Amino acid sequence: MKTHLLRYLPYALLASLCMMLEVTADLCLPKYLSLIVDEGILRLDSLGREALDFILSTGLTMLIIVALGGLCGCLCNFFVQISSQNFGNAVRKDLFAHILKLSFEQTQRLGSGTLITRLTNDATQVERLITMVCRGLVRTGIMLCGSIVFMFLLSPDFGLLVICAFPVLLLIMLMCVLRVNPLFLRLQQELDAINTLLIEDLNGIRVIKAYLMELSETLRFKKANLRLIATQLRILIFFAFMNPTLNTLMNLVIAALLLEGGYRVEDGHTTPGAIMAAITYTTMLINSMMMLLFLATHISKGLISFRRLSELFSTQAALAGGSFAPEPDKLLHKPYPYSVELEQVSFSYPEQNESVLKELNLKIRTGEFIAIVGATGSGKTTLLNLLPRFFEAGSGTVKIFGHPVKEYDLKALRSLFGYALQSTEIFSRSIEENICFTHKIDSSSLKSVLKTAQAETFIAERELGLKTRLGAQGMALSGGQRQRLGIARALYTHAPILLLDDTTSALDVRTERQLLQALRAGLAGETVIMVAQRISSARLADRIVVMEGGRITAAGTHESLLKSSAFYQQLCRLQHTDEEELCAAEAAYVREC
Amino acid sequence: MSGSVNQPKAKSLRGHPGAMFAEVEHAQQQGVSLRRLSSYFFQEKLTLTVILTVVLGATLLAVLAPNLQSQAIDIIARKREGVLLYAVLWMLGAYLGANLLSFVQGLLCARLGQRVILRLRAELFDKIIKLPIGYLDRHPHGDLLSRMTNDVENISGTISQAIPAIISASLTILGTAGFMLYLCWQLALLAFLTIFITVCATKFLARRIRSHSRERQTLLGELNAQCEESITYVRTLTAYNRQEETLKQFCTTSDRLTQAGIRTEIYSGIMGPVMNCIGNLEFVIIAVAGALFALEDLLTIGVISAFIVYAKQFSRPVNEISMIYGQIQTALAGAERVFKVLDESSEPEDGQDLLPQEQASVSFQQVSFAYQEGQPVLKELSLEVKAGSKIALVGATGSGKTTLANLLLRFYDVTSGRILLNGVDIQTYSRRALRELVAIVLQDTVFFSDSIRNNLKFGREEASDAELQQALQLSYAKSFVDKLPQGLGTVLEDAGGHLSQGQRQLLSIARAFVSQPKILILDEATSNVDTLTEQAIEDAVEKIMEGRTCFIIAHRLSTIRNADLIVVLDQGRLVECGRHAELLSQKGKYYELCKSQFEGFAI
Repeated sequence: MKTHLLRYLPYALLASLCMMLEVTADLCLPKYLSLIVDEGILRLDSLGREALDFILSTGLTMLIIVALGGLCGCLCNFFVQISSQNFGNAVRKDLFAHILKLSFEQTQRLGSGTLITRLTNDATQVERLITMVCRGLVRTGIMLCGSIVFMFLLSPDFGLLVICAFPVLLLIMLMCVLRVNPLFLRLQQELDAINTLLIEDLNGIRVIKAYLMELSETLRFKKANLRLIATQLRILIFFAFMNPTLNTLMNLVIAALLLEGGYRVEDGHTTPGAIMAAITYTTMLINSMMMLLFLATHISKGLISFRRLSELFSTQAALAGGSFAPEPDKLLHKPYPYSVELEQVSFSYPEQNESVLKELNLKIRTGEFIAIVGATGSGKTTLLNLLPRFFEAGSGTVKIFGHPVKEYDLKALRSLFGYALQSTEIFSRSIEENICFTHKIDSSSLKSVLKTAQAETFIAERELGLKTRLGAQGMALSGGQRQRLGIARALYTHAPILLLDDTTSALDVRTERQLLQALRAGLAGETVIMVAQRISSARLADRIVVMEGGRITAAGTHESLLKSSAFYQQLCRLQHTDEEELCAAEAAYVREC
Repeated sequence: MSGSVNQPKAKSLRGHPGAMFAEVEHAQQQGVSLRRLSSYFFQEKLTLTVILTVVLGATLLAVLAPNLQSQAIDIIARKREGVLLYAVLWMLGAYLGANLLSFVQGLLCARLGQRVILRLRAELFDKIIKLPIGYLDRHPHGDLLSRMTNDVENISGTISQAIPAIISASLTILGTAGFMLYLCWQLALLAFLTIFITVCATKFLARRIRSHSRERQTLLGELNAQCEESITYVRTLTAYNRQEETLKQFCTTSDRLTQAGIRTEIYSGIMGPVMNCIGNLEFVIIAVAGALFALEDLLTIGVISAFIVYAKQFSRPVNEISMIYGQIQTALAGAERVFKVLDESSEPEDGQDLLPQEQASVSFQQVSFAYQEGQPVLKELSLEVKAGSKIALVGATGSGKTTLANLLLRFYDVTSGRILLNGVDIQTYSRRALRELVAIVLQDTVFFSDSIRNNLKFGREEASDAELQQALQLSYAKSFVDKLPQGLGTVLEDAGGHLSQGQRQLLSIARAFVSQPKILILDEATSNVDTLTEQAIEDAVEKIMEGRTCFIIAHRLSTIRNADLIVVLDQGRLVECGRHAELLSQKGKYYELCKSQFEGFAI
């Protein structure tokens, strides 16, 4: 961010310079007013037309100054916009690139909601911060100092009078900051509380209605509502109090000026015109004080955003890639005997004591079809995430085609995998663009992929076919349809290793079986690692790996596991895979009759 | 997550000189919404009258005070006879009075505004909670959420600013204009000349700003959508090495947005200096013309000084109103949307109360139902359920199992046919009475961020702690609740998010126990649970079903096998019904289902 700041600093400085000129013009005006009054209007009786000419010429000078001031104002705005918006743009782009580089574990920890807020809200706040400083702060600052200086120039007495009002002003401002800021914080919390309550109630509306809890929820809401209103009222009352107080202060100063000035005029020390100018400066002074108050809250908001962004920028992407970048085709055609090797691999999420994976050992041959089964939380998905280095193994080595993943260039490593996630992420594009993610659209390859993924029929039903738009504004997909698109997407990469993370759970058994059989038939040396829920689909694999509590407890074919793994037996029993049981029940019934 | 529910939206340009020209939303029927919103205020007649009086006084004093100030200057310049001290004191008195009144005005307006918001928000919530399930199913919850937050907040923010601003602005404009005309009508007319210049200048600039700002809004929406999609789906992007393309796309939009933003802001930034120029032009006009008139003895220099103050006072409310004009429009558009929700009809409360009954038999007679016309979900379904029997509903997704439960609770009403409860059509009962009889346990357990006690009392408000403990005991939830630091008093943070799925399910069964239902609906209550708690849940389910009429929608064969009657649904029709073994031997739909559905359900 600093380099961008430096890059746009000249524009910001230019803007500040223009602003200074504009304010100077503004500050000169009361001086001319007093000239017009004292030298012109007051001498009208004695000088006559000469005084009028003076007023006219001074008036013209004034207008020229105003016009020049206005021009400077426009230029200032021009430069401010160029510097702030370009800076904001640069930060936004950098930030986006930075976020894309973060590891899964980092984005998961930060949360996508937070990241989106950083990118939209905070970047805008920082952009506004520059505007606020260049325009607002420079303007009010100069206004503030300038009006005091001009007051002193008019008469030291006037200057002293204004200085006397300063401590009171400071006190009021301090009070404001100290009292109101915590209230704003509370207001936000109470707003959040109301939101949460409503979200909960909307999600649980069936339960609320079934248990007749409408009334008690209304009461709960009423309480939250009252709390929120009370805080909001306190803030509003504070502001209702602020402005009249500052105005009263200003009026007192004006009264003092008039009295003091009245006596001074008698002595001949000052003139009525000077008094009028002093009054105008006082107004300027108090107004810029109020402005400063307003700026302070905005600038502090901007600074908070700035700090948040710096923090995010300082979060270094956790993974550094190596330099090994093989051609995927070569790996496929001159295969290494093992596509995946795990040696004593452990993994745990930061800030969690228990490891998710515990000293895992596993060798997968190139071209093998592996199914992983296990209960929720046994570490199946984590294991898959280690292979393309979305997560970094805590200890042990992960080797892909004989090379430790750390030696791979990240991009090269990931291009070795076709990865279908548990929940398929569908982008707002056409179906074909959603599938052909990595390579250009090749219709024959696309067609075969769709055929394998059993996705042809439901796409053909659409009027626009492959061109149908998906996503928020597009066609809605069922869970099974999404999963089939996800698989098609993974297949389309033609990567040597295919990772399927429970991507067939929403399909019915028949479709799932057809899909897996087609997948098997179409393989040309690719390794497939599939997390499966149903034993019936796991059975199609060459080897089934059983995971329990972060360990691999058994591996082998369905038949061998039925003998060796108690967990696997239980799994089968639960799932009633054994069709014999159905038959037995049937037979028993027939016997009963 | 509450912070990210709303779409990131365009930052308002509030307070900027060009803000009035930024694209704002317009209410479709501004007049109607305005009248309706005003009616909320007119109900507080007393406060409103006091406010009006106070504003009138404050404005009068604010107009009077500069006049007194100019008198004091005249005395100093010896253009007028009088004692300076008195003149200054009068002036100060007027100023102080004006300030005091403006404080009172601010106070009253804040109270009034917040009272209105309190009512509006309460009414909205009351409506939302009473809306029929059908409405809530059809409309995205995010929409309702943004009614409550964005729209009401917008109204709230604008109201407390707009009322005093509008009242005082119109009074100030009238008052100052009157005074100026009274003091010297020639000079006043000249001063008013600048208003025309202002109008012309703004019209000229407004057109340009509007077109640029429209482009900016569109691009902003595009960028936000891109940003949200890529960040939410960053895993897929990374897995497929798509970071570079995504970044390129984002940068293009971002650059275009910046261009449009700079153009908009430059044009709207011209507004400020132009206004300033016009203001100063007015100053010069007053000085020069004033001097000319003074030469002719048409006025005194005191009048000139008063005019300078008045001219400022005159242009300020004009600027203020144009500043909040955009905000008012947005607020009105929000109010219109809020009113639209308020105008939805609530779930009717008609029907009679139900007499206490020992048991409940249910009979479906030729029941048909469609969520959308022409797409029936249930087709002429008839089914007799004896009191106290356990019915298992099986069938593929979309076969109408959950719909049957919806109808029984009258979340929806049948399209044709009848549902009888102990021989009486359920439509003759009130929904309240009916739901008191029925309890549901859903697959996705729902809890509220409140204590466990209050969450259990959801079942029956008057339940005692002893009863709650007993319910926990029966549902096998007692052991883990007792382990929690505050027992029943433990607040379920994040709606029970830190409990395991199984624990939540046990709690929701306990809640059903508390409500002592006659009819129980278990909607896939035992799926999605880890193996450890599974047995406990099944035992709890067994227990709660005792002596009750139960409808079980389940995936687990073991739960279904023991049912008194298994009802097989297929595309809204009842295709088979009977006991487990019976149905298996028929080798019909149930047999097929068992083979395909159960041979591989959840681990």
